[in-house]
Amino acid sequence: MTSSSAASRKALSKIACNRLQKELVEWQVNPPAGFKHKVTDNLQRWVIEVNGASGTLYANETYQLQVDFPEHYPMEAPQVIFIPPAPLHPHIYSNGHICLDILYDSWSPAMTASSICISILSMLSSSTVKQRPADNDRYVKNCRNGRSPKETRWWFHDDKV
Amino acid sequence: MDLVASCKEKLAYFRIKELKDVLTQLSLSKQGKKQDLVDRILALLSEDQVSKMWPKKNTVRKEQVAELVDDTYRKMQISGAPDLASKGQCISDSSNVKIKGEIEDPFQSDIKVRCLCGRLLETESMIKCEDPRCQVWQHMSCVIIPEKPVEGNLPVPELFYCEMCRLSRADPFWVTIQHPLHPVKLNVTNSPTDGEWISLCIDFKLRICEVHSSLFSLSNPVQTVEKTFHLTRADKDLLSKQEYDVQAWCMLLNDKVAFRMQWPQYADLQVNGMPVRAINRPGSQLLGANGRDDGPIITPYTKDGINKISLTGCDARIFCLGVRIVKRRTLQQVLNVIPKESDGERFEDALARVCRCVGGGTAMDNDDSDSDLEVVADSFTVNLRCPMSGSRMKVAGRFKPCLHMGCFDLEVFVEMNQRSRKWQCPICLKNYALENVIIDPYFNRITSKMRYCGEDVAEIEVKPDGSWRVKTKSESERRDLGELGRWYLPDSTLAPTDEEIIPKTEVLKQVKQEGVSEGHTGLKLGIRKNRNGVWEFSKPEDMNTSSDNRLQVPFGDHEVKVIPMSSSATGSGRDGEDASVNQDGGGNFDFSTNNGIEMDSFSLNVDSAYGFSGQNPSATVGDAEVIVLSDSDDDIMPSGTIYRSERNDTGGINFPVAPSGIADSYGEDPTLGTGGNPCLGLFSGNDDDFIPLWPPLAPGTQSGPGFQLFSSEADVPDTLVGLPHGSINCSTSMNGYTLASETAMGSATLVPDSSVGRSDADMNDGLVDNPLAFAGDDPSLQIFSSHETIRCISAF
Repeated sequence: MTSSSAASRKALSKIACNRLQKELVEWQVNPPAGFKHKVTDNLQRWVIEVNGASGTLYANETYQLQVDFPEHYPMEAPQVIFIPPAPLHPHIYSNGHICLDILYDSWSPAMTASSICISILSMLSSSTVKQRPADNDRYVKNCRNGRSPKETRWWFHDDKV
Repeated sequence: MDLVASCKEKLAYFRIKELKDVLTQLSLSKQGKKQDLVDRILALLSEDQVSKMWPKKNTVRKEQVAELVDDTYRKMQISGAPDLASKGQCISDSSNVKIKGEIEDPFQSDIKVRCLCGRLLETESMIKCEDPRCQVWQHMSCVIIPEKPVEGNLPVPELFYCEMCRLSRADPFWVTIQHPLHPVKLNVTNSPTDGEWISLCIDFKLRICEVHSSLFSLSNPVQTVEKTFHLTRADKDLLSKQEYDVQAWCMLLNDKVAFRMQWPQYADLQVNGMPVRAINRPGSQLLGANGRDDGPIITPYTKDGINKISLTGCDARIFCLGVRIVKRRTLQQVLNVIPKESDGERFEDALARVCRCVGGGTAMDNDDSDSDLEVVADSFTVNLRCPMSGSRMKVAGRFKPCLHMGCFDLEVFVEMNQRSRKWQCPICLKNYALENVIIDPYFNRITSKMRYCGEDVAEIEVKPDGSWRVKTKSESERRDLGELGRWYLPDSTLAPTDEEIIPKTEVLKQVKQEGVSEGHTGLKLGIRKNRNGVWEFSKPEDMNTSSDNRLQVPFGDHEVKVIPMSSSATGSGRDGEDASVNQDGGGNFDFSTNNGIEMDSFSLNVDSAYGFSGQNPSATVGDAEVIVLSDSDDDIMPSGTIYRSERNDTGGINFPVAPSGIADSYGEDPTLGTGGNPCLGLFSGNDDDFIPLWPPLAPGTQSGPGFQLFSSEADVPDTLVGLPHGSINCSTSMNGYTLASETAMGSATLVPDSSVGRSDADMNDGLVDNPLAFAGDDPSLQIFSSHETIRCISAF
């Protein structure tokens, strides 16, 4: 898995734990359409199955998202990556890293795992072409030591896809 | 100097930013060249042009425009904006410009200068710290460092805080006790003596960082600073106490997030020769907008007497380093700093915000209002869960400057910020400081009421007037809630129920309650535009029966005459001669009894009769009559009248006045109460013109304490104030929308009220999760007013 660093993170704080339990309950009652939470006993790492929305380039395709929650969630954004193979998308690197502002600079503690999922699905759905980002190879090489995408300085430039 | 000339002179100093600010406050377009903007403001000051471009001239008078210009001008000067000499032009030497600090602030006779450069002379343009207790002046060229080099004038930040004040806001869990080392800038050093050391340093950096980023960092200059600071024996004694510490801190000058620490890339901090870890992020990683650095505690590395501190970094930006003695605050101590509920914000302001967010949006842009209808919900669902904890809020906190109504759980928020040091609104993501945190007086009353509810109960329904009740899935669930299942008035006092006996003195209270808590008999009012472009109201049949009953009971002795104004010029209600309700309103008003659903309608819950419904037998002439609307009938267009209800805030928000006051006045003269609803203005106005729907009633025809609202000449508030039993008047100002009510009734053309006092780009954020997007920019949304109006009439 790409993010070895996340696994060794500190345990969740009490607030984070409570909050995640609430999110999980909420998810079970009202899961976002197209997503399935794979049940584990690990509250800190969620693995979520994504089904490409019908009528989009990713229809009938299934991917897996890995969401790692930091100690001080939700003040800090979770680390969200696709477990390779990642979908071919102009903002998704082959190592699964996602260039999406809400995962980094625009994260708000008011967001939830569920709202992230919806954003990612919307990002997939609005794609018009299946291709990797232009700098994919360079970026992936730089990350080969298991660097977290949260350590990347992302440059969000495209608001269309 | 006359108004226009003095404003013109001031406007000449304005930059685009100030011009836009002024235009925003005047709800005018900000498009165009600079000169266009200036002209637009100046045009307001010359009467003849007003009506052309700005149809609601009653909203803001010339004096107000002038005042606004004056205020902005003053603010600009205080913040140290350069003088006329340099405005707009590229004058590279800004040091020619003198600031007029002394003149601007008569209370501040001596100017404190404290600058990173150490000089105390006012040799160049200066900028003053915004903090009222600090107010030091600093050299602009020392502290204002733009991201990119600019020619000419330095961009002046809206609110400038000196680095000390920024520091004290960066983490309120630390209180500064003293500064052993005042902030000093890091310098790019080229001196030969340091050369060797720097190259060593670079070498060290190269080893520790990844190659790709070190290449980048090498393009950045190496910055360094080496200083000594002194700790006395007394300091050391102080520091032996657990809650005291020595902290090294570093800040980026002109950081876009003002209240945070930030260390340079590859920061290498040493205290007395010992390396101290300054940051947790990798050296190559820049601090994102969401990131916060901390100031490391260096107490263990310090000793009595002289201490040495050095910082090196590879960064192109300019930082300052300082050392301070701090005292740790506990969570409770920080919470205690937050003002009490009653001190943070007036309840009325909080309520006005809620009403604005729930009741409709900003009419920012009338051009967008091409649709004839807006969907308006009767109530809004508001989720009381804290966005951070996911649990229902115990104490509802908010940042005072935020416009949205979303709150967060105060304790959870503060506790989380103990670690994250963010002080960022989780809803709108604006950065603030602890000093901006307040308790929301509106929502806190609600969350306190619900304190003992089950955790799963977290949603409430809020009406546009601010009254609320707990939202339940079923009626049985509602019954289980007991009192909490009922409607509450905006101030979170329980709204009386229908079953309660109504003593005479409380009639108005009853009225008020009906106006507010119409939860029981939801009657549908459908409104649509017919082919002639005339609005039609329709209502289901059952409305009258229930409402009639209600009307007759409380008002047995006080007959009410409600005269609806027909839109036809004949205006049968005009002389007040006719008890019968004006049914033949020229066809503009069709009170049909077909159901409202098929008329792509608003469903407005109105639970009592419309005065103008012919089926209402109680609407007979009495000693109190209510004149709904008037205007000079010259303006009346007999047919094809298009109107859109103007939001009438006097109506909508009046109800929440303290019930006692109303009841009292009512007790003195029960008959009066009939008039006690200053909400009768069903005004109209399409985008271009105000076309009165109904002819006026001459005031003279009032035989009793009737209210004539909105006569063609009078200002609404004036009219109200003149009333003898004016307990309701207070609400006019209370609701904070006085301006809006004035607007509502210009004798000239009217546009649906736009952005006066409300802006709610944020309104769908946060707590509001009503799926109906209340397009904030469509004035026709404000059909609520007619809703209110009708409700009021019915309450007589």
